[in-house]
Amino acid sequence: MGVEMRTMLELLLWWGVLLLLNTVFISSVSPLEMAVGGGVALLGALGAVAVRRASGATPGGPARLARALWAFPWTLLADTGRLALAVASPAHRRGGFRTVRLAPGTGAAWGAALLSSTPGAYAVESRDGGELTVHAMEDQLSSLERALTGAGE
Amino acid sequence: MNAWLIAAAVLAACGVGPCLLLGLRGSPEQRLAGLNLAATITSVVLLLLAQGFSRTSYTDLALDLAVLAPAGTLVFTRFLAGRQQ
Amino acid sequence: MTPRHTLALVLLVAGAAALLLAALALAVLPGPYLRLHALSPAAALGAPLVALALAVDTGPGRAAVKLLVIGLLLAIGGTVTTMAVARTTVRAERKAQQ
Repeated sequence: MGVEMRTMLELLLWWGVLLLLNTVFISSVSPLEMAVGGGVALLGALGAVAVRRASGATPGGPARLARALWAFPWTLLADTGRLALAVASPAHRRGGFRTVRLAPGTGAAWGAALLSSTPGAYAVESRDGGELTVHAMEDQLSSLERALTGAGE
Repeated sequence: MNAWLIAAAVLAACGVGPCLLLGLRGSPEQRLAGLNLAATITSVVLLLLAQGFSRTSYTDLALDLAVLAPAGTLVFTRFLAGRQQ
Repeated sequence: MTPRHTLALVLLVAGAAALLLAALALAVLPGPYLRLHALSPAAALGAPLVALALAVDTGPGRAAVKLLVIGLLLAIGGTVTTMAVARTTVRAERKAQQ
């Protein structure tokens, strides 16, 4: 696919997402609303494509996405429990930085975002080669981290 | 007085309160963390108030805050990064 | 009370508990880095649970989808700002140590 084709596709994708969001948020769906929504969504899509290309952001590879999404809810609940434990007793408060090396093909953007949405860790820095600097509450890897890095398999 | 309004009151007092208190002391980064959490909890409080008063149009307030508060936090982050140089 | 209202109440209590835990953790935990762990459960667990409770109570329809989308926006925005605030804190601490 050429660059123009990809840009067109991305524009269409943004336009669709913005129009869908607009339709969800308005109170009554009428042809006038859809027309206005379509026009403004087009402006928004143009701006979004321009900003994304200027920032150089990419979603990254989809490797290990399924496993990470499966491990995510359990890690979320377990880490919330650990946070409650850390709040309740001062003896359980630890924490430190460590480097998380993502499995090859895993996108650093969504990997870091998934990891940061669990209370147990948050990503601070991301380097080339899929290396994240992460501050974690515990020394042992959470199941989400194991899924993202492929450790223990 | 229904469950939504009670939940909104509890969250506003015991949720947003500590965050605002944290926003009053410490380094700028610490205050920013308090502001961030306060914005999230306030957004939820607005949603609960909308349901409690049975006015669906109030959810637009929560939507606005959900979109603008992260933008504000990022502006503060950029500002603090500029100061640190 | 109908099962739907019971489910909505249960979800509401769970979400509110997560949010209160986050606020408490922010106030109680020591140190600049440990405190930031409190930002995630509010955005990723508390807000979506409350949004889900409201959506369940509203019943199927566009209003429920709107509430769910607001919950999702809160989750994404909160996660992104958690990372941004964490990065700022790390930079500030590094500069303070120099």
